[in-house]
Amino acid sequence: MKSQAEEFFYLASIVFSAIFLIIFLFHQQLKQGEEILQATQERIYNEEVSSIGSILFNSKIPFFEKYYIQAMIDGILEGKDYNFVYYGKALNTTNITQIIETLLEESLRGKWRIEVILPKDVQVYGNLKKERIAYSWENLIPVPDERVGKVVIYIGD
Amino acid sequence: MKSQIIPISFFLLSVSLILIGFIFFNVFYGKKYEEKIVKIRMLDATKNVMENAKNYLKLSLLYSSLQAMRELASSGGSLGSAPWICNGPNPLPFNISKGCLENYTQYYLTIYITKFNTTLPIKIYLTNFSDVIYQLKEADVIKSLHDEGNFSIDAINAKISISGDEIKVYEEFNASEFITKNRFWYMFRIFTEWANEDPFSSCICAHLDCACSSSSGEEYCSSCLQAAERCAEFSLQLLQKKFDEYVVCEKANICCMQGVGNECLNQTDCISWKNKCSKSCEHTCVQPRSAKIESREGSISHSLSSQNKRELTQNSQSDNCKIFNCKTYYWYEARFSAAYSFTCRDYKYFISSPKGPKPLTFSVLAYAYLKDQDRCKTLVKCECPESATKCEECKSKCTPCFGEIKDKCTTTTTTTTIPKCVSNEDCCSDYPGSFVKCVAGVCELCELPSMECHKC
Repeated sequence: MKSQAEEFFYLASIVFSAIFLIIFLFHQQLKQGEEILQATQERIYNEEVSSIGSILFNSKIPFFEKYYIQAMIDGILEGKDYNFVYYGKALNTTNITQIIETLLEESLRGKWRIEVILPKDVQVYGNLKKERIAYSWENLIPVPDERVGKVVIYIGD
Repeated sequence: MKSQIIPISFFLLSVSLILIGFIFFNVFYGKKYEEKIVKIRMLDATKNVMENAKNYLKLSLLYSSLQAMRELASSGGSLGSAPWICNGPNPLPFNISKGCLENYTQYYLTIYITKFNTTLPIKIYLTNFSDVIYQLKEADVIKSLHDEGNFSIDAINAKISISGDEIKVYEEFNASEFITKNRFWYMFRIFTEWANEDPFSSCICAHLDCACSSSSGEEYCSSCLQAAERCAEFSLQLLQKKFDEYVVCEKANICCMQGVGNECLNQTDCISWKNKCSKSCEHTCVQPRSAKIESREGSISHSLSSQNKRELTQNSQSDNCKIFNCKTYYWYEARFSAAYSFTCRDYKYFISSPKGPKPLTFSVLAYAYLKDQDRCKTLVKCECPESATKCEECKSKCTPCFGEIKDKCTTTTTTTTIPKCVSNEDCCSDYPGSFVKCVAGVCELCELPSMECHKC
């Protein structure tokens, strides 16, 4: 009777150990999967913000023919109302906030926020709250004359 | 006891199996996997930094060119430019302006490049662009093809190198920026046309006689101030007419000097007069590193040079019998110098500046520093000795004496024929450009302008 109990105990130990090992390995696999998922998600975010950054730096506002980021910088430097920039009699005024919102709202629907940080001033576009930020991307920006600022793009989940 | 050893050792074996499995997994797979993840992330970050650097450089090229255009436009198209009107037409050559723009754009671009950095644990090396080229030709500027911009600026051969742990990325990079809605070359073209017409120095030359009443060789404008202002106003109006409705021009006086010089020098037209209100006519481009914007408002200290005051005394001698009507031409040098800056602002397109978009301001100088050795010309009576019977015996000034000596007691001795006239205008053929009056059928030159004198 006793030997039967011992054998049962050995068997239980082996099964327990095997199960433990399997669970451990499974857990590791899951963890790895999560990391891959996270990395993939990060890449998706990165692609998304990079493309927004690329638009800001490389696309021009129709008619005004100014880069989006240039208009944002000009608006802040003008120092009156950051939303509006006046580009002369032939071009008149552009509403930079409206233009940026039109550009980003369709694809990101409120899940974006852009901060333009200049040496003496900061302007924030978008309504994403800080606690909902999932990913951020930043790029240095030249500022007239010979100064440097920063643009930070945040996107939320 | 023996029965307890077996289960314990079995248990220990199981635990060690788990531990070995854990260690093996982490050492041979987990770590490798982690390294792979880190490497991928670093690659992504490096790629981002590379793209960010390109974005930064592209925008830097734009801002550098706009800064160069703004600064050079306000200095007459080139830092170190001479007056565009300098005793005659002297517009800035296209190539100097273009070359200067390229130099300054490259200079500012280099400053922006040195300011690029990142917070990531990688090292970035950005080498400067080897060349910046404005893609435009003089013929196209003259043909108004670049009135609204529409030219590209190419910056070539920058090198971006990023290095970190096991990562090294290197790329050669060219940036190009297409400039639109910018009227730098429009203003350059109009100013060139205006300077070639030269309304300013020709006007100053025409008004040089205002200096005849000067009391010294070089002094601040008094009698010539009005003439200088009139010439500047005339030039400004001509300039304004050449621009469209978006451009507003204004003028500002820099300096004005007048004076008189030696008498009886050779007769000339307007020639150059070096004085405190004159400037070199040679255009240059001051290299960016030593660039110091010269103050346009050059201060001119007031000092009177040699006193050359003319005292034109009319010598009318006569004894009881003789009436001396001998005359001689007398002239002396008139000097007049005026300098103005002509500044035009383009309100059509504003361009980026440290204070937001502002109108492009183009400012050029106009200098006219002229003298005419026989501009102050008068006909004066000769000093004749009592015994003189002919005008040639009298003391002359710049020309031999002419006229007649009448003897009331005996007979009249005529030595030289004198101009006959009925009205003042009749004398103009004999004394063009002078103030004259007709007195009793005889033409006389007026020493100073007056109501009874006529200006020919």
